Amino acid sequence: MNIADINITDISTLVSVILATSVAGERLVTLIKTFAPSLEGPPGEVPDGSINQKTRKIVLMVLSFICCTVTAYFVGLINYIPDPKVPATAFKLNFWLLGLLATGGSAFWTNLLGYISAIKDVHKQAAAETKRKTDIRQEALERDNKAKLKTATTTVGFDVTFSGGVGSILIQINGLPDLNFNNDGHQQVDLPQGNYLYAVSGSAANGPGGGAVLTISGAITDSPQHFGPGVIVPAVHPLLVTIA
Amino acid sequence: MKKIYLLLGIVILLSLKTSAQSNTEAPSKTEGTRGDTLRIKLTPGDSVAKKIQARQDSLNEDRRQLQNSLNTIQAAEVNAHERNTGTFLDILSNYLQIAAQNITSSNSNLQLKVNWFALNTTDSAKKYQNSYFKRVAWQRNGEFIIDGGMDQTNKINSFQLGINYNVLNRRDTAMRDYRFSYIRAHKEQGRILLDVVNFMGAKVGTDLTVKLNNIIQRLYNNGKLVLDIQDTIKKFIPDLFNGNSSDQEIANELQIQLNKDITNNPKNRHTLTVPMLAEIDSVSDFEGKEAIANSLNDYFGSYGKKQLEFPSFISKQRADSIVTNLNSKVKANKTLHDTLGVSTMFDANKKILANYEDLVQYISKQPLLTFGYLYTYGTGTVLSSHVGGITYLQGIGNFRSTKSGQLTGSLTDTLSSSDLAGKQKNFDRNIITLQAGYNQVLAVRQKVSVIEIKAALEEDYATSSYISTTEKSTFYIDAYLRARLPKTPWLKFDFKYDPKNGNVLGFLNFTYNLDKSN
Repeated sequence: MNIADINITDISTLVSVILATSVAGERLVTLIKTFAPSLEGPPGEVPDGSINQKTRKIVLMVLSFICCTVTAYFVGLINYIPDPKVPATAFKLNFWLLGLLATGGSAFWTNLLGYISAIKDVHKQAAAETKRKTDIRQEALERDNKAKLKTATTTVGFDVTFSGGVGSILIQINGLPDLNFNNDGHQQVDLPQGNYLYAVSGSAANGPGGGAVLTISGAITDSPQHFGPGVIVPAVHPLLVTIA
Repeated sequence: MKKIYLLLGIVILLSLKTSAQSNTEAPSKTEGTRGDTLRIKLTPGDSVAKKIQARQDSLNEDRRQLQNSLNTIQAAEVNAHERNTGTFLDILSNYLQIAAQNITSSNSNLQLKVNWFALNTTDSAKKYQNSYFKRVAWQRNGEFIIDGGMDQTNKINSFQLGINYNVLNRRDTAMRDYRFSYIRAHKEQGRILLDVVNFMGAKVGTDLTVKLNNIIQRLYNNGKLVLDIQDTIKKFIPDLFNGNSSDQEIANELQIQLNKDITNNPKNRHTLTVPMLAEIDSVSDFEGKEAIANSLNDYFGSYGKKQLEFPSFISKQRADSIVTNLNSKVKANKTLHDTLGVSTMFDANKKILANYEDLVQYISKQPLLTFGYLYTYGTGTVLSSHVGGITYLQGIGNFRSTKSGQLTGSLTDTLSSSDLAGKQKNFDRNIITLQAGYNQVLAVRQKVSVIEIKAALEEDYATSSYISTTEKSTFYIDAYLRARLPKTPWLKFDFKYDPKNGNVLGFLNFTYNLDKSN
């Protein structure tokens, strides 16, 4: 596993475990020292450079390592990287290594934990800021998309052809000016996405061959519509406009 | 024997016309037939996408065929051409006229009148398209005459060629603008229909949304790509897709989104996606409005011949509400209620149609003035002649009356030989004929004149080479009685009475008028 993949929370968890092991190990050393008074005693009464003092320190250090390692042993083999995407065998601390780290002393690990917590806070703030900026951008993007959808229109074409003489066709769409056809022709309207209704009425020439054809393009509706000679009774049809 | 030949000739001409019509109509009838079954042959190697495409192509073809059949359903409501009187058609034929004249006389003839426009050989579809039709409309005012005569021994003894042209282009009902009779009312009707269908359609659409949500949720949970969502929906809502050309496109909107969601979400299919829900809303709204619109369109468009029936997914309460809404808006509308004098949408349509027909009747009573020329090559007792003439016809009386009256007047000049034996072929005899008459329609059936009587006064005056054995000037009282069934030939009796000499002449004519729509 790449060390770059370990995030600050994982490090914090790891340091917390080491700190706990360290504190427990120190308690164990203190317990042993009550049974071996020679290991105890104020450091100031014995000169620092004396053989006894050096021996006592080495013994205490070894004792501390043993106590921390024993404590770590009870903690067991722990996968300190709780990310499920990372294989379980990728990053494991053996108990002896944990014990060695814990030997550093609870004061050191407490300071380190405090330092990491501070970094975490900074990270949290940065993440919150980034999230806030992303949210703003997202909202702006959504507003923009909605606005685009609102203003995006489809051109719907109406084509009328007459046969056999004079005719007229009136097309009414709610909220729009009427479309009038007195000759063959094409008219178009730009419509936003949605459902509409239009009404068709008029007349076609009343002789042989008289009729009219209405063809609508750019939307889903009943098309083409054929009308026979005579009066075209007002009829309503739905029209569905989709934005491609 | 001669009469049998004449009638045989008419029958042959009629059968030729019928044959020509059936040849041109046959393809459209075939196009109008909807395919009964849809078969898709799938091979193991086909991908689902290919199967969907094959199904789609097949459905599109089916839809095209269905649309063609729907296109042929539109029926003509008004065909003013068919309402012309027999007297009018004797002066100017609409399309084609075949007449066996003077059947009981010693010299009888078979006459064919063909409208100039009928001789225009342009393809029928293009011929009636306005872009072309308006350019050649003048042809509709002219006709050509060809005629062959036989004597009692069945020997052809005469031949005629002629032309008539209407110089007053005032009674061509196809070329008039009738907007005055309907435009204001149609605008109001359109607004009312839009309001009611929009309002009630949204309610029906909401009902449909619930049903469609359930159906599509099941398909979504099932997790199999859908090949024909229209068929599936029809099983649950049988009359939702009822043969409109938009049905397939609307169903496609649902099917495409559903298959997309099924493909993209292999596991989590507890609830429909937001785009799918939006699609269902949109389709439900469309179908709700279309269901109401189709029912109203069928009912009003057929002037009540079809019952007002809503699909089963529209409750009776909603259906009643639609009708009540419509009629209350008509009642509250000034143009429709106060001016047109109607209280329901149905009555408004009837009234507008009546006003439109009145206007058509008014225009068809406008004057007609034709100039004509007829040349006769005759042998034996049939004299060769040149005949030039002017004929005037004017409808009179209440234009709303279907049993209309017409004033007629004609002035003709006939130049022929003075030798009644037909031996001399010189053109030295000139007769001017003035006739004034009145034609009355006595009976109509299916709005078409079936019995007419005409009375006329006629004065013949020989201006040169008059024959010593005959009067220089002769006065006649003419009477014409004709009868038929709608769309059958006219049987016409002509009587000519010379009150001075007490002579009565009688002729029997058999006339068949064919129109483009016959």
